Amino acid sequence: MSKCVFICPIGIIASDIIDRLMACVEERCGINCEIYPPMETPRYAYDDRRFQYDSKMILKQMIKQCPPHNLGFMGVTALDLFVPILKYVYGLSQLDGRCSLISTYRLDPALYGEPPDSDLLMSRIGKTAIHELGHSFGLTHCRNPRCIMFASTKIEHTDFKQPTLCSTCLEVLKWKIKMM
Amino acid sequence: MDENKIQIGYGSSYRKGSGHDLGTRSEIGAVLGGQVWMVRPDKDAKSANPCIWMQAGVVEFKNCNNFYDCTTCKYDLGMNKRVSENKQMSWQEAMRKRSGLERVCRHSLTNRIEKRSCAYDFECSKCDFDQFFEDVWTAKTKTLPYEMHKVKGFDIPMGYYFHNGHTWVRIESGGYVRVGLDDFALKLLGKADAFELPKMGKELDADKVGWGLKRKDNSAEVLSPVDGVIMEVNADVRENPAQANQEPYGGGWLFMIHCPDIKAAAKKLMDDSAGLRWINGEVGKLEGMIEEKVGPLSADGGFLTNDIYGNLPDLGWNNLTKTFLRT
Ligand SMILES: [Zn+2]
Ligand SMILES: [Zn+2]
Repeated sequence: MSKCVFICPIGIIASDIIDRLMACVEERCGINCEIYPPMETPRYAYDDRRFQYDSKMILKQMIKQCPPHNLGFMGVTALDLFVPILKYVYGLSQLDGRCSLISTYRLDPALYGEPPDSDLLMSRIGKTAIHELGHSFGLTHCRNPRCIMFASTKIEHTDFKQPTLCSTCLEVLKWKIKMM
Repeated sequence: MDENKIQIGYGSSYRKGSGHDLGTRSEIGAVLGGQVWMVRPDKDAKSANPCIWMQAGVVEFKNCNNFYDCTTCKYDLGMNKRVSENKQMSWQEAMRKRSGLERVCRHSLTNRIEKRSCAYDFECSKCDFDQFFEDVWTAKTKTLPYEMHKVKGFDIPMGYYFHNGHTWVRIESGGYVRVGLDDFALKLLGKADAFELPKMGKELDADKVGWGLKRKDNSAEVLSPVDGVIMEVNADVRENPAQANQEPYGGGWLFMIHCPDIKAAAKKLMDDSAGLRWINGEVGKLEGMIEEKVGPLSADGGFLTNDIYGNLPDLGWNNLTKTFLRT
């Protein structure tokens, strides 16, 4: 079997979101995706003062369970994530590692009082996932606000990004892959 | 006492700032290249601050350029001289000529309070309300900024002045300024257990330590942004320090200072556009310090939390106060 990215649903999340995300990563990155047995809602990571889940605790758990021989191991959850220093988190990853985690919670137009729009939601999820995969391949943030590796602090940033790497980041990525 | 009253009596309390506050707005967008966005658009700001002499109809057009501090106003001095030489009608005289309903209080004339008629024949030094207004009402009443900008999640009000030790100054009237800690410092240090505020009558020197705050075993000293004497301390904040975090630029004010030379003091402080540029630099500095501690942020997400020190004590309390409060 050729190497692939494992996608692991965490907690309750619609299966069509997972399906469409896998199709998106395969199409955009040319990398095979496989679904990984889901993990239960990570109650151990819940912070009852913030009503959010500590994303680093979940990532640590994923690192422990990371399957061998893969290109990446990405958790996808609909829970609201945080790290202590930030108000919320769209996603995080091991820099130069294989594990990453994204949340769809703050990507949903409904959260901003907008009408449901599954295409917009999927476009945001795809961008967030590829951004985190970029990190796990060793890419850092890019200053170009149209590049997918630009750091989003607001949803407007994510929407402004193109769903692709800028030419500089693409060169870096090719070089990183060659060195792997 | 009465003489003193006349001295401070003829400044009218009014919305802070001058026309200058609103004139620089186009600059602001350019300064930070789109990183600033408006939160509360200004609904009824007026670009002119009408002078009492104009509102009374004595002169055709005059904007106040002295923060409604008539006691130090050259124009007011000149006009009063002309009045004493019988070359000019005083604004009080002009008001007395009006019909009953139009004889409104000078504080209504300058738009600070609802329409209220004058019962003292414009002898403000005899008026209890005037005394109350200048000494009590102005000091105790919070007013909120009419426009707020955000820099990476930190609030920056327009029409305020900033000192580089993270205090803000709002010019009130009659030589008074209101002082508080800015949103950046309050989020950086988190909720204080206590503010150690100076007592009434204490003299403060600009750029010298004037007061402090405590959080558990840590304490921080804060620089005074202006020279002057403490006239009023916010008792609400003393009792409930969290009030400062909830409304840094409104109900969270800390004290009022009587400042001998407001124009000179304001010149040394940062105005709207300089303040925005400065706070943007301060946020960058903080991000650098965070990255040094936690490594390049591999988490992608929102703004910094409301309690930065509390969530990342490794930053070091003293390091933070030295870098940002400059003490
Ligand atoms: Zn790039
Ligand atoms: Zn990132």
